[in-house]
Amino acid sequence: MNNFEDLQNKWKSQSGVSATENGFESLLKSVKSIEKKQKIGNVVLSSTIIVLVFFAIYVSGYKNTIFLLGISLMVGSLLFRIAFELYSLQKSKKLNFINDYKTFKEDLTNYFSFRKIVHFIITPLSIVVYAVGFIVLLPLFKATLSHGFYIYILVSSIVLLLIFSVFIYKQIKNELFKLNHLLTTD
Amino acid sequence: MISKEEKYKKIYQDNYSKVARLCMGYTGGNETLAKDLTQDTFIKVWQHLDSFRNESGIGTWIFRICVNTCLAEIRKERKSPKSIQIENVQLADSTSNSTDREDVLLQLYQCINKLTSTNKAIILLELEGLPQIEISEIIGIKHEAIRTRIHRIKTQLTKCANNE
Repeated sequence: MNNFEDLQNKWKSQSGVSATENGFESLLKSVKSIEKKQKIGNVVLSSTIIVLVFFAIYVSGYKNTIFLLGISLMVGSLLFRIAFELYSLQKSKKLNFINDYKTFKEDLTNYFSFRKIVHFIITPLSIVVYAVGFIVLLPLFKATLSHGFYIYILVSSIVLLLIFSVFIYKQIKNELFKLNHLLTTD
Repeated sequence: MISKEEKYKKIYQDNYSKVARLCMGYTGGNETLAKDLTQDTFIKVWQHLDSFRNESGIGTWIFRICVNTCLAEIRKERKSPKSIQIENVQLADSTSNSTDREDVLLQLYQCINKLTSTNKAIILLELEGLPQIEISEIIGIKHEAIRTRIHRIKTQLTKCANNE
């Protein structure tokens, strides 16, 4: 028969969980690597924006309305989705881990509720607009590309869409589980 | 004047065991997940270290980050949960009582895992011997309410650990 104090003593007597020099070195490496990745992320994002701006200037020279419509829908839907993802990222970074547990839990619940909007409205809308843009471009692809390449583009885009959908589905399932857990448990 | 890195190392050495035990408790003894959460906690400690103002003790401040990190990392349990991995957790002495202690510890992990997220956090802080006033600050619930709640969870946990 153990009373709470006995349990507490046994709990504290777990000495296997102690700090090691190697553990600290590896932690410090992780910290530095995260800081480095954040800098690389900023460079990649800035480069993407520059490339897209140049791309927009380049395609604006085309007089083909169908091409412009298709490409605008595809790139526009991607940009729209990326913008929301970046906004989500900013929101998640603002979650303050120094707050008390109760406040943090409320903030976390609000964050996942916002993610629900992204998953159920923004993401499907982006996929539909992207697909419409792609379908608009298909006759043009068919007219200008070889039959083999046209089939390749068609099949690869369907495969990519399927892979992407599975990835999104898993992410949605995971985040909805978290939200549900936060809402239903004390 | 000590550098940020030296200060960080001291904090790590002084608090690692407590944080690791809390994460082990929160994950029901899942050592791999607990190690990840412990690492995440200390990464956040580094990121927020400059904003630490000594208003609360550093231990309380770290526990606050730790329980929030654990909450943010809720994961779906597998349908057939893996056996609790406490083989690598050693006990302070290796007398013949160690198997008994391991059994109690195993039972304790399972009992803690049955509690709600908030109750888990509260009892893990209590097991670490934190004053109730500090627990109430970390959790954000009034001292009186936390006292009643701790009493209730303690009874529940002791009964469960003794298979009552």
